[in-house]
Amino acid sequence: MGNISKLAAIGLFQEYGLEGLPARVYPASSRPGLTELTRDFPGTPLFMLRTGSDVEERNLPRKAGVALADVPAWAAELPPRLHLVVQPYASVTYSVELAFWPNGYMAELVPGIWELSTDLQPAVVTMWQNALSLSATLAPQPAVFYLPDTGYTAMAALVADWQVVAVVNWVRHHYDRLVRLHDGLGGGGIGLKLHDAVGYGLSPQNIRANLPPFTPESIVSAPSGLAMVSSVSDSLPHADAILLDVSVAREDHAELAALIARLHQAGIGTVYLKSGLLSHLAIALREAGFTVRRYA
Amino acid sequence: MIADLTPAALPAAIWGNKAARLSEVSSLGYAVPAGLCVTYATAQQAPNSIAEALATWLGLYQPDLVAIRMSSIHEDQLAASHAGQTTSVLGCRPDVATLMTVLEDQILPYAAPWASRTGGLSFIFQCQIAAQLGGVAFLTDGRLTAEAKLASTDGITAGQAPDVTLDLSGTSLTATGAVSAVPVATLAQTLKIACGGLRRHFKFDIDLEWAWRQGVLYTLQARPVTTSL
Repeated sequence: MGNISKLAAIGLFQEYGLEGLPARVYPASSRPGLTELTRDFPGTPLFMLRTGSDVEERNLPRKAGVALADVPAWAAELPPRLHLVVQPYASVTYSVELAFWPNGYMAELVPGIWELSTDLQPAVVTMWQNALSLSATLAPQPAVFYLPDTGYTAMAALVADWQVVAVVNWVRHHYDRLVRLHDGLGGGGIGLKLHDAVGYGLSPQNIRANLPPFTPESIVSAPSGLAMVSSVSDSLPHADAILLDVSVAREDHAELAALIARLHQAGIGTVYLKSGLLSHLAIALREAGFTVRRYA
Repeated sequence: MIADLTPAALPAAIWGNKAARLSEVSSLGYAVPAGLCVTYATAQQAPNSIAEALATWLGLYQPDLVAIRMSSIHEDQLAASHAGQTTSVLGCRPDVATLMTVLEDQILPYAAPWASRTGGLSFIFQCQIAAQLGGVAFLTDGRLTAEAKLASTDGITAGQAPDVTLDLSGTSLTATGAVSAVPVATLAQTLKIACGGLRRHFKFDIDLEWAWRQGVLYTLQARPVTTSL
C-alpha cells in the first residue's frame, strides 16, 4: 500500500472534486495573518490547524478549535520545514474508512472521532455486484466527540441509519470522480479516511493508494444444475433438491397441499426458493418436513 | 356478534386465533390497525347488522383502504400455522356496499371448511396501513430474522423476493439488500423489542407479520414459530 502525504492528499481531493471541508496550505514563506485568514475563510470563527511535511514524519503538531485571532501566533511557532494546513473547525459526528475499487467498496463507520477511540467496533457497509450489505453492532460504544463548550467528550453512541445511507449516497454521487482518482493513482484500490463535518458533510482527509484487490466474503449460492419447478402442475424430477419458483394464492391452498404430497413422493428433501424464507410457502414446506433454502 | 378488534380481549373460542391474538397484542400497548370483527354466524344470518355497524365504523376510523381477513381457531396453532391458507382480501374501497360484496363473494365461499359447531371463526374488517415497508419477522432463541418488501404489506407472505433481509443476533446486525432505503438498524431493534415483548407474554417464539410507516411498527399477525429456519 502507498501512503500519500497530507499535503498531496489535499491537492488530489481538490483536483478530483472530492473536497468537502475546505483546506488551505500555507508554507513557511507565507504564513497567514488575520487579513489572509478572513479572506480565505470568510465568517469562520474556529479553525482546525494541522501541519504537513515534504518528507515522511509522524506526530506532527495539530490543534482543534483555535479562534481566528490565535491562529497567526500558533503558526509563527512552527518549524520552517512544516507547512500549515488550515481548515474551518467543524464538529465530527462520525468517521469513515472507505476502501474503494471500481467494482465495489467497503466502508467502515464509527461514531465520533476515530483517531481518539481506536478500539471501536465499526459498522461495515459492503457493496459487491450491485448488492449492499451492512454488518453492525447495535450496542452503544464509548465514542469521542469535540464539543465547543466541553472540549473532547466521551459518550455512548451508535452509528445511525442516516449515516450509513449518507456514506452510500456519497460514494454513489462521487463514483465517477473516485474511479478517475483510482485510475490516476495507478489502478489499485484507494483508501480514504473521511469524517462527517457539521456544515460540510463527508469530507476526505487522507488517502492511501494501491490497496490489494477487493475480496468480499464469498456469496453462498445454490448448487448448480438445480431442476426448476415453475408451476404447481409441473412434473417433478427425482432429485434431492429442486428450485421451486411458484406463487400460490391463499385460496389455492388445496393445490399447495397436492404439490407438497408430490414433492414427498418424488423423494425431494431440500427446496430452494427465490422468495423469502418467511413466506407462507416456505412456512408450509418446513411444516411438511422439507429443508428450505434461499436461492441466491 | 360484532366487536371492535382493539383494544379488547377477544376470546379465541369465538373469534379465532388471529383476531384473539391481535386484540391481545393491542391491549399490551403495541400498535395494531383498528378493525371490526364479525362472527361467521352473524355474517350468515344478519348481514344487515354488519352493514349498519360497518357504516358507523368507517365514519369513526376513515380508512383509506380496508383489508378483510378471516380468523380461525384452527390456524396459528403451536404445532401448525396453516400459514396463508385462510382467505384475505386487501385493498378494498372503504364503502359499505363494496365491503359487503367482497365479504359475500370472496370471503364467505372459502369459510365453510374452517367453520365448526363451536364457533371460533370470524372476519376482520381492518384499516389497511399504507406501509413504507412490510414483512415477516421470526424471533427464535433470541435471534431475529426478518424479511421485508418496500411499499407492501403482503409481498413477503405471498412469496415475493425480499428487498431487505435482517439478521440480529445479540447486538450483531447483518442487513442485506436495500439498506440505503430503509433504516435497518432502527427497524431491527424495533422488531426485536416487539417480538421479545410478545414472546415473554405469549411464551412461544414469535412469527410476526408487520407493517412499518414513519417509524411506527404495526402488528398485522402474531403466531407461534412452528418450525425453525
